Amino acid sequence: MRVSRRDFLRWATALVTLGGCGTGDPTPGESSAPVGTVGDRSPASASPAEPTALSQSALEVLRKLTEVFTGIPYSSDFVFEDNHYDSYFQWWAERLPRRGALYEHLGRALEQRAQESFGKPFTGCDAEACLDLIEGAFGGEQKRLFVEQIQRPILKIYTDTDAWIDMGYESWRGRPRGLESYRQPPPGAGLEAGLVKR
Amino acid sequence: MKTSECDVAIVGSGLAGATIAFFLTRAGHTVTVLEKGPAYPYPHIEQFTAQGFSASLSDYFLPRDLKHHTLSGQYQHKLENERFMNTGGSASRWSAIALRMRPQDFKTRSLFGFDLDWPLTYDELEPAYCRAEALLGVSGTDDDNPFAPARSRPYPLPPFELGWDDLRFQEKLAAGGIHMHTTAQARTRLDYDERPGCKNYGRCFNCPIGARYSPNVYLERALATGLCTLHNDVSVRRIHVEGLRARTLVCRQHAADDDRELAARYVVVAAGAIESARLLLLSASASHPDGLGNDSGHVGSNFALHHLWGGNIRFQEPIYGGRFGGWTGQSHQFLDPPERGRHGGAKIELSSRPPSFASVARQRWTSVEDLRRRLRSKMYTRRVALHCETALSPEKSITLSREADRFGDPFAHVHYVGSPFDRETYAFARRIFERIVAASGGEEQSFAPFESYHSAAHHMGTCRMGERAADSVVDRHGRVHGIANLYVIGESNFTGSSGAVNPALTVAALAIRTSDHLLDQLP
Repeated sequence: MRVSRRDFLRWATALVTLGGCGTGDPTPGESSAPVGTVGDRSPASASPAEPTALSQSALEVLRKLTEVFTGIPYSSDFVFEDNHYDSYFQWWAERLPRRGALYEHLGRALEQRAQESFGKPFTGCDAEACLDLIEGAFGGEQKRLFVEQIQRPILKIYTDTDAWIDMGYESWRGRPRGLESYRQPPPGAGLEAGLVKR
Repeated sequence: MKTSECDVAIVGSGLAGATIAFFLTRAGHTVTVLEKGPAYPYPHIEQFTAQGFSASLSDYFLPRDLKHHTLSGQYQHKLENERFMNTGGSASRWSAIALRMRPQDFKTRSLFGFDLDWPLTYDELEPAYCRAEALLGVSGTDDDNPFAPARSRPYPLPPFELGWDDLRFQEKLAAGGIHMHTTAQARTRLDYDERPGCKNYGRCFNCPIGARYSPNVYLERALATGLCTLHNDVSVRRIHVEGLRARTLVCRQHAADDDRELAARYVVVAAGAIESARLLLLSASASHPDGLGNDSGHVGSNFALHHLWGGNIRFQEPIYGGRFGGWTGQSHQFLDPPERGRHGGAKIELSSRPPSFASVARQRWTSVEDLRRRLRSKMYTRRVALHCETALSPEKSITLSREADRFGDPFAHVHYVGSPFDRETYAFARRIFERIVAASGGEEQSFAPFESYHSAAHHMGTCRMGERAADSVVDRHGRVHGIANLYVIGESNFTGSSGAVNPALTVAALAIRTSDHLLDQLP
């Protein structure tokens, strides 16, 4: 799957304009559910009022978007062996119901656009077609939300995780890496800059 | 105003407060801990997870109208961000480097002519250092560190070995006459005292399994005895003294409309260098018009930060930093330089930081391939930090601000300006960095300017320890001069900066000594 320089530049520019690949913190006006546990010794209550699981169709669209923006195919074990992209979207959907609704809404919009334009599901389109669909499906506020709440997080997760593998590490921070491997040469050591091939 | 009673009231639940609560409750005494900040669940799995999903930890932050301070002078960073006012205090999120001060650090006046001697010697504190290492679960060795002070007991846990990147660096620096070694740290190399051994998750500031020490672990154990009560979100506004004894604490639960009083037989203030001094100053009364323990005017003076300057070195080959979560390599070779007194000592921290990949994604790239190229470019740089000793100055102090908190109590005002001594120390650190660059075969990319020093969140002094009320605030046990049952414990007791080593282990050792002292006092 390859994305043209023109299309990628278009989206990368939008990303920079909106402040880069940032955090998953609530956007202005979006209520923030706390993340701790409920209890008189903990003001940081965790449980959302109404936990919301993302639908399978929304998850599949989000996976497709991950492929498009990272260039890593869905079948790669690196990406999906522990579902860290899925986990991110699920985690936020469960804590911020409006965020979950946004994922669902944007996912449906892309599906609808794909059916109208190509007569097939969004997940069946190639990367360039996906970028065209995104471009056509969203404008103004919706585009901002798409970039801030979906595109930026995907790239943030990538740089926190799979980018480490791409750069020649055996794992990334956040996993229990043990106390042996850090003393050994990493998998990418001594290789030319291409490092790990997927 | 309602009044309740307890044996020992502790203001602050951080490293010092939690240590004292643990030892007192273990001996059967009742303790009430008053923590200004919110709860901070332990082990810190929730915080670790939230950070992994890029969520803010703002639920655990004290609101600004209770945490703020004002600042004048030179310090360029936000001290508010260096004070984690929540259960467990600043050591609930720390690097866990657990070093002993050196014997010379306790005698800087008599040996080097600057600052003040402590009323304690290293030899007197050494047994407490051993106990502090056992308490915190310190992993380390002195076998590779010829600069380490003498010890009477081995470390409780074996060291974290140098990483692959550190080993390569060590070899290069050795050729340049710089000796790099492992570092002692309060992170469990093996399972220890019901804490699991480190699994190297990384992102150690919120260790998800409790391998890295948090004061919360001993606070939990104190609470489990049923003899300890912890109140979060409570500001202690005043300490009332009658005659030579502290009688009550005036407290305000943050959501409440009025104050409550807590009567205590003993009061321990363990709220960090800034807030501890502030509370003593706020507690001024007719009998103590300048604040408690302040007859000689020393409360808030002798404020000391460490000065940390970092530099980046670029190499021809990728470094692969960040494969271990904490730090493995340091050098203590320059802690006690021959010119000490004209300038301070410096500790080299060869942190194995991960490359700043996230910053690349914020740049303007044109394709996935371009993004990866830029990511790779970040792998050739290694950061080196010089962690430096400072000297006391009239331009480093804590007073009360003209701005007030939610309840109308003045915030602390921090005034801080680096001294000529500090500039000399900067020049010394710069020379060390240049030696490191030359020895490592890399190319200097940057080195921080003098004014950008960071404190490393080490705030010391303000209620210094001494034999005489005329030139100190507390005695060698942390008891406030002239008030029989009031103690101030922690970094605030330091007579200057802790040399150039991290102060946490010394805080724990002082807290252990004070616990012993209190146990002698309590029936």
